[in-house]
Amino acid sequence: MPFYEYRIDLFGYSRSADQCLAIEMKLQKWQRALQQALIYQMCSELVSIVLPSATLARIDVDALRRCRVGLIGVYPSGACREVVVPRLSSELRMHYRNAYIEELCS
Amino acid sequence: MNTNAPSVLLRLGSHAEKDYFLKTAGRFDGLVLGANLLESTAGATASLVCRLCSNGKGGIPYFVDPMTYAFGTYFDPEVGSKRADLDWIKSDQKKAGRQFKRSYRNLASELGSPFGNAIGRNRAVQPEEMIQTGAVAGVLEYQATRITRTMEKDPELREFIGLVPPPAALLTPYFYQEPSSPSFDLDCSLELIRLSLEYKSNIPIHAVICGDIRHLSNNAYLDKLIRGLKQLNPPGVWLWFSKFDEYKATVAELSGFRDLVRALRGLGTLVNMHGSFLSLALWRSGLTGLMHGVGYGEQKDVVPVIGQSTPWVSFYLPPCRSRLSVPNIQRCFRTLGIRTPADFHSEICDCVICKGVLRGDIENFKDFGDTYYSSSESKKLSQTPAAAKRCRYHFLLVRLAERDFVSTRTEQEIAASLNNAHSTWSGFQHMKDQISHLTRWSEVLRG
Repeated sequence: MPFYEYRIDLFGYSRSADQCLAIEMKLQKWQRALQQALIYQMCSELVSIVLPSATLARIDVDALRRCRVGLIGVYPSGACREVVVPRLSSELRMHYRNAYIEELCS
Repeated sequence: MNTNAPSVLLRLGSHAEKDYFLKTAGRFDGLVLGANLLESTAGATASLVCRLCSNGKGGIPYFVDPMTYAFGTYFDPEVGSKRADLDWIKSDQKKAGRQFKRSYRNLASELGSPFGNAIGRNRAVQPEEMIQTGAVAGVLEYQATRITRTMEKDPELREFIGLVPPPAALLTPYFYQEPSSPSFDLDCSLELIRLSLEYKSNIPIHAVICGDIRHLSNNAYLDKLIRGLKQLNPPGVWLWFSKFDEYKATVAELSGFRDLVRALRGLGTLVNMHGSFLSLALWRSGLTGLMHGVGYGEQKDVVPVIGQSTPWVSFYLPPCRSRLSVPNIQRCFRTLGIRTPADFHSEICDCVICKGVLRGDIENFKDFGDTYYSSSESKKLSQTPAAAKRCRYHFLLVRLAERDFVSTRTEQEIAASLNNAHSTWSGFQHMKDQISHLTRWSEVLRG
């Protein structure tokens, strides 16, 4: 899903919760993933970054928590674990969010 | 040139930019025309000069960049060696295959020997080949007369010839000085300048130095350049260091540039041919002007980058003196307490474009980054032409404000303002990497 010159790797909307989730996936550069996640907080209530489990030890999870960004680790088996739960964005702009929901639902 | 403030010269990139020039050029300090553009659209360019530069109220000075470097050798990073086949001024043509671009073919013919010969033999002009009185005179004569000769041929423009002045200065022929042979290339460049200054003309002749960013760290080169220029004493010097991007350059490279400027102070006009805010800020150090396009061209590599997609015109963020993506900026608003257009105009920008775009709602800032799918197959969003236009006009107006700003501040005060901006904006995780130039610039201005 494009957002300006960025590309959100995964964007989902739950009708029942009436919430969006944006995901940024990276192999190593977690700081770059966090920077992008901060931008996506303008169009999604929840934003998480996803990285391979081998990278998790290098990530400053406190920084993610402070920024309300979630973290999901992907293990070699393919299993995923939510290491940090994302919190509701305080930067949401409804016009961005609603445009994406409309696009997803159409 | 204006002595109370730095001069900002706008370079015309293509005639698609004409409107920007017609609406704003009168407030700038000069118009620069690349000779390749002049040759591909001679009539339209002469007509624009006629409208913008005619004698009388509001006419601005103009210059013709002879672009002789394009007929020289260049280092091709893809091949990893020096090339003399002039391929960089060729393009693939439908029927004839890879051929010289029409603009450069015309230019070579206009400039005469040795440039015309280079096209004929399909081989670059060597620096020493340019060092001939006839070759130098051809390049200077070309700049002095090309516009009026074009007007003479056009029945609609002919009657205005008397109103159009000659260029404000003639630029010496120049070539790209290879970092691998700094001494020889510099000797040839200085000789070209010496020969040019012997040319009899009522128009001032300005020296052009076209080097590489690596020259800025080469003290022996810089010492020789400074000595040579001081000895020749041209009334103006234009500098272009390929790959020198003020936003990315190290403190050492930036300091090398600053020291060069300070050493050349007093020679007269000193212009950075591709500069950004730092070049403006170096006005008190002796850099009397800078040149760029309408929202780009604040740095330029000698070897053109081929195959780039259409660049996104980012919003020029005045406090940070740089272009940043619209969402990156918008993401900072709430934390900075920018909640209304009035907050924005007081903290960020109060140009007429920003006032028009925000019109009562801070969320309208997104209009600077409006996007669309340029075709039904396109999966990538592109910036709308209207949004790009807003960003360009905003940039031009801010650049004028910046010119006034630096003219009333010391370098220490400018450095302090850059540090303040860094303190404010570097608190944002997503901005840190993009504003690191502020502290480097501050250090250079304080040095």
